[in-house]
Amino acid sequence: MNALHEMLRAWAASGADSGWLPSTFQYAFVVNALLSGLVIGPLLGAVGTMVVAKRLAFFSQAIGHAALTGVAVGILAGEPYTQPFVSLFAFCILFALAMNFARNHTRISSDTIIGVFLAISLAIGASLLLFVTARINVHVLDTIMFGSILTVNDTDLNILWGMTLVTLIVGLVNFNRMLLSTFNPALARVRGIRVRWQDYLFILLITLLTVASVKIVGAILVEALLLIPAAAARNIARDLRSFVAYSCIIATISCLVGILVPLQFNLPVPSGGAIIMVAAVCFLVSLVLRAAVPALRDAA
Amino acid sequence: MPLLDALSAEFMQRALLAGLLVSLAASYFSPFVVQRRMAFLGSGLAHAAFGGVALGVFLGWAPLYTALPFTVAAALAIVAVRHHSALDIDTAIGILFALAMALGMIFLYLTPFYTRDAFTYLFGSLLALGPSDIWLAAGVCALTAALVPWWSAWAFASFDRELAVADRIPANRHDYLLAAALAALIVASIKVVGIILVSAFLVLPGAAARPLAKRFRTFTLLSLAIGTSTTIGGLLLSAPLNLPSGPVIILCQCGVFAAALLAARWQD
Repeated sequence: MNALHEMLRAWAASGADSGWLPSTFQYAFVVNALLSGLVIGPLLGAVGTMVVAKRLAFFSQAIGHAALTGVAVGILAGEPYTQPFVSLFAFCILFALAMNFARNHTRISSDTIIGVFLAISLAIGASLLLFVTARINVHVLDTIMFGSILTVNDTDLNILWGMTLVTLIVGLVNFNRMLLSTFNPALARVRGIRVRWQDYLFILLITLLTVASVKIVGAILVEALLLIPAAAARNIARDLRSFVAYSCIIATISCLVGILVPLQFNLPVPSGGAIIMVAAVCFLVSLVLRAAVPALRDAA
Repeated sequence: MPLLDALSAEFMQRALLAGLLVSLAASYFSPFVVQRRMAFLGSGLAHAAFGGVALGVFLGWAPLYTALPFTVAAALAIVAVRHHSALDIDTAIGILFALAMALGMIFLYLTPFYTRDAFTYLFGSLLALGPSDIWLAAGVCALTAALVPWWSAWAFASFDRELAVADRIPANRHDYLLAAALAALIVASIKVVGIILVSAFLVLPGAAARPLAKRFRTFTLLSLAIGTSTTIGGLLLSAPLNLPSGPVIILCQCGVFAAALLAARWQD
């Protein structure tokens, strides 16, 4: 894949030279960031529709925050602090599976369980982070929490491609079963679908995507990119197909605009913040559209 | 630092006082948060508080005094959305608070002399506690005490809202009161435990007390006992271990929660 990235970067640089692309495109990190935005936008947008339908907002927020701890563990284990992927994926997957297991196997309400797991992971993560950043650069914290496009490189892009592949395979093989388990679990059970298994699969998918997007959007805000585009799409969609399509489009636009605008106008704003602000504007527009267009108000 | 030296230090006495006040109020509200499934609201309000703090830093004002109106307004807005709109509450909380957090980080980065101050608020800092923080904590404690007369009405509505409403308890109005009180509490606890962990303060004492309690009265009393003892214990532990206070307190509470779960299972 590195050759493809190289090709795209060269193409963008020549475009910037000849003037039909903005001059920021000559920088490799800009192209890298935009490429990753193009990949995570549609993915998070599509998966986000199910996050909204399953009411997993708090759950996915907890996974995003767990990435803080994953990074801390990685730095302690001696991985490079810009790419502690092994610890990051391992910790977040374990965390998500354990949390879902506890949700299914105790009588305590789901949101209390999530709150407790969130607290444990953050308490460990905060202690470790403060401990390791005393030795490394404090600005590592900024990068992890709020996202930084400056550090995106070929390895990150390759991981994103890998996640895309996994999501596509799981999605295509399982699409109908997953959809039915999300929107009508009772009917799914009658049809012989193992809903609980589908649940685990879906949670695994969110975790992989969340962790892969932490670099761009930041651990604190990655949940919002699952949530806001889907909520906006729900306001203006008339059926399931347009719900998913709009959500993908809004998420992708948010990523691209959020990455480009601060660069273009030289604003000292982290990419995560800008991306979420763009998504929030889209959400506001969708609210206005829903109020203004009668046909949308009657739709589900 | 040996324990006795730690106790005689002025900042430590201040921290213990602030910690005690804040944890009293937090563990009083915790059973309501657990029983009414408001954990996500607590977490969301903490994120909103970050937006308020950052606004204060940006404007050059004392951050706690911008955070207070900002967070209370966010809490009231969320309750209004829940009562008056078809928007799913889980999604609404997620959106509003991601927005507050994003705004907060933009404020911080636009501040010309942006210092590491923000991290004091994110992770809490005992050294940074001033007299005004103690007064704020005392104020929230007084507010909590003033709300105690509503305890039975809130407990009733926590278990059976429809019956409570039929009994002429204005449960909807009480929701606003509870949410505003939680917001004030969160802002007051920021310096002690930090924004990242403050919502745990509202969940863990109640979650630990619930498996052990059969009635709401014991539920509340146990929560108060667990919340205050873990806070004092955590503060005393954190000084000699040279660890940040917030995480140590939360880990103590997690330990008690795990013990409570085991004890409840053993009783069965």
